[in-house]
Amino acid sequence: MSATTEQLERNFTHRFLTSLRRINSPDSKTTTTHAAGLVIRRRSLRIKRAAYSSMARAAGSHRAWTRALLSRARSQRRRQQHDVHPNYIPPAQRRKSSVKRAAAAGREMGRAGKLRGLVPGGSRMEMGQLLEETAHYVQCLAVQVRVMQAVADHFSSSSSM
Amino acid sequence: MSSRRSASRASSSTMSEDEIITDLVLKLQALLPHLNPRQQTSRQAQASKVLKETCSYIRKLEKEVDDLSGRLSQLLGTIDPNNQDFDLDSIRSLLQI
Repeated sequence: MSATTEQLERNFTHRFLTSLRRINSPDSKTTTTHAAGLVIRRRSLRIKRAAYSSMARAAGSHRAWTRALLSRARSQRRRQQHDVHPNYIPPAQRRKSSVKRAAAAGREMGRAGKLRGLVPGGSRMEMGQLLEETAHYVQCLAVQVRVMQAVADHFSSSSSM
Repeated sequence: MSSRRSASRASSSTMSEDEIITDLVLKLQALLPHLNPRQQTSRQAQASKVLKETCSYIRKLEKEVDDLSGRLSQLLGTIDPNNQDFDLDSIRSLLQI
């Protein structure tokens, strides 16, 4: 593994574990009146978001995909705070919504259309940048999966002791 | 970064967009593992294959993130939040870094 990938992995692992600790703390917003299944599902969503945010931060803001991902996460959080569904987009903004743009990119932009929909911020990039960002995004995703796997293995081995 | 962008804009006036795509995609292929589109005869077909494989690979990785998040959520429910389980060193040893 290259030195930069190692550094990325360390940086991501540290941020991700910090998030997990926060998510798992007893005073976080989980009430015992909720069914266990719902608690697990909600926590799973928080963990997933923490994983993507931690990776975007670890990868650095000089990448367009990290900026796009974190900006999307910020809007989702803002909507949640106002009791709005995180995927809801108000009517005034809908024409410019990135979801619609991503779908339109899939229809209009030929061979790279699907890719534009998958890479954060992809619909706004010209082709050269898109492919470069894609390569980096894929490398980071692979690191993210590898670390999450290791963390899960670690937790399952400690709980079975 | 802006110089890179204007360079591609300049070249797109002399090459067709398809040629640019094909060229860059083949470069992308070098960065991704287990892609072997060389069974395709034309460069165009190779490039299409790489794009398609890249999309599948991204989707596969994102699905793994989903599954692992679910698994971690279940596991977090079983551990004591105050104990040593979050220590960085044992996880580093798992990752061998």
